Amino acid sequence: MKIKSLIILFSLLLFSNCVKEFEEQSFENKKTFRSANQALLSVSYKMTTYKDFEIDRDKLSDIDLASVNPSNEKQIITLKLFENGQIRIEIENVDFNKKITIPHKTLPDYSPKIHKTIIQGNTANFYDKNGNLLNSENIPIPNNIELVNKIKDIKNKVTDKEINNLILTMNGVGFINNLNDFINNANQNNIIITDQGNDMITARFPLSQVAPGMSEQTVLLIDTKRNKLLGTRIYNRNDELLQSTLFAYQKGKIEALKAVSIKQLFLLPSGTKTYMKTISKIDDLKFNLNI
Amino acid sequence: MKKLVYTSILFVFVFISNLNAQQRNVIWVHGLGDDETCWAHYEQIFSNELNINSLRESYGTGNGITPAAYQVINSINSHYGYTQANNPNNLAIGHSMGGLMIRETDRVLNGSSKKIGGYITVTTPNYGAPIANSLLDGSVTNAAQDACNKISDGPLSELLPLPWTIVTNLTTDVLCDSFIDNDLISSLQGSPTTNEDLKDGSPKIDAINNYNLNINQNIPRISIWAEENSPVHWRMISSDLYDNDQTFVNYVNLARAAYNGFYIYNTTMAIVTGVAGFWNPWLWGLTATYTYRATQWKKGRNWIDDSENIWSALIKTTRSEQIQVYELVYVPDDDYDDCVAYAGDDYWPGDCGDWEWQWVTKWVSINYPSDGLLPEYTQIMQDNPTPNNVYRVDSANHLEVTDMSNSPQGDLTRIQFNNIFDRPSGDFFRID
Repeated sequence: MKIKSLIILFSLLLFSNCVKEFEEQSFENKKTFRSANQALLSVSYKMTTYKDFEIDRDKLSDIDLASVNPSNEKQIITLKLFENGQIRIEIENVDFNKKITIPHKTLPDYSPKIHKTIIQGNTANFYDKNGNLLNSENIPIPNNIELVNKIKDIKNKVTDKEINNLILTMNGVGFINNLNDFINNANQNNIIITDQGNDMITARFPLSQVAPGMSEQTVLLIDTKRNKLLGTRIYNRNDELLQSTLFAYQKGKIEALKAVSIKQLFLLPSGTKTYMKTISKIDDLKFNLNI
Repeated sequence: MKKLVYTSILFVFVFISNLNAQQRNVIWVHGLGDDETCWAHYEQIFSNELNINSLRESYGTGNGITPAAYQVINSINSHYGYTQANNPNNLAIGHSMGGLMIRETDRVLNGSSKKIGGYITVTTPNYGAPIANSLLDGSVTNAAQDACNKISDGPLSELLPLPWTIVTNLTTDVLCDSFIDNDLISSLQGSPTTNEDLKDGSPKIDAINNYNLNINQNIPRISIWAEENSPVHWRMISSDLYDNDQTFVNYVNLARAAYNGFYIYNTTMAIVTGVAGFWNPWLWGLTATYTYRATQWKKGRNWIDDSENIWSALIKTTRSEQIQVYELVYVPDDDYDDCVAYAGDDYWPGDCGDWEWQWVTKWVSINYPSDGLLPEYTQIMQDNPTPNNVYRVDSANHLEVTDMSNSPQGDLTRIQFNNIFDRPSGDFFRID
């Protein structure tokens, strides 16, 4: 045991196309230490997103068609959550060879492009491709102290080894009892559980129970065998489906998130309702927890 | 005798000098909802540089093209007097609707009563202004409401009190309002009568064009058209708000980055709570919340990305075309069937396949050149026998074309006027 290695660092490289064998490390008897500048939690990943619409484009008016051009993008993201609830987030736009370019015939835009955004505290700094600061703005990113407390609370309930194992494998089976408790206490917590068969349930409850002020209802789709969140749905007060989100995980020893698919109610300028679908592929997910 | 010869020579010299020194009458006419200050910049420059006698006044434009044209006629009569008012060398220059007002003066007057011998239309809707059609059929109002909703959804989902700084400065009060509700749009909107005159397919504009096509084909006329850089709509609004076409574009870029910041923040927090939910499934409720908020912010960000396209559709400078793009398509694994059998029909088999880029053909909306308000085609008069009758002002929008002194590209309108006034000797548009 090394005194200097007091940090419990759970670091994982999760490559979506390359599931690597890993060596489980022993963290027993290690103490927890965190310097003032070190994040309680950090996440980084590359996200490639494609956006399209469920609609027959050739039947749309010009104005509606103008709202539904397909697009894609790639961004590299790093988020750090600190013990005081503040975050630091870096977002970098990345070019890639599958980028959709609509061949507009207008003269090019010569204005400086924001290539990177760094938000820390309530300040956002915007940089060009050469790292030159273009501008700064105050941005009221919410404080996440409640989430910090919940994460720190984990330490009181499980061992370092259990935490480490979960972070390394992204496999929640070891914590299936927590899910069972959640299901068993559903009635008293105003949660409607519905068995969907095939080891899946849905849990319906008002979002205000977790996010005060929200008026929508959510339905969680949970795999009770693997202790995984498979998807979420959001309904408005009229029980109209606003959004359906589905999560895809890698198979094998590392069951990391590999994609998020979102179907979202979308109003065209003419008032016609359609659904926008977004696929986000997640690559190179790194997750560090430092409690 | 010798004295008589000298006197005659002197007389001829003075006569020729007077001929050369005779001022050219130039009538500068503003457009819809504008006033005499519209052409102040170039009128002053060329009044100093050239031998011209300028007329620059304000006209009411709320009652349509013809009443405005008669105001121009009256103004010419009172400014130049009887003899000069009907001078066939009189040159008129009209911006936007002002170009149609000038053309209408030519149409409604006959023979020697005509006030102008030739004209230059500058970013004029010679074949109608499609924005007028969009205003009349309610498309602009619908697009405005849609814009405001999409811009507001992110901040509202975040439960952030409105207005907060960036919203105040960059979004709802400016983006949304400027897009539709600000003074610029109000002035563009004009009166219903004028809109009817200016719309694509207007009988008034048809009459003006038919007059040139069938009756007065040979009147010297030139079109100056402007082509703005992308994003054309924000540049035009920037010219309205800040007298340059860049400041507002920078603000919008900041707003876009801020919206993207919130989108990514919420997406990442959804990932975090998705993992933390293993320990505490309640946190999966937060996953749902963060995901929902992320998409609300993304909706606003996407609207900013698409807004030029939407605006261009309102001014009818888009075309639907098929192009090939990369699409992310779900491809099932070999064990896909087993996976579905395990999970049942309702299960989303995301784990049993992957997404791959595939080359597909899609209909898309493509923007074509405009000055931010008028398409290229309507700015240029067709069937025009005047040689070299089209001049283009690069990187100019509909508003700034009447004063490009603040343009980073330089005063390109002035350059085009110089080119016109420098045409060969004997050309109607040449001014010495």
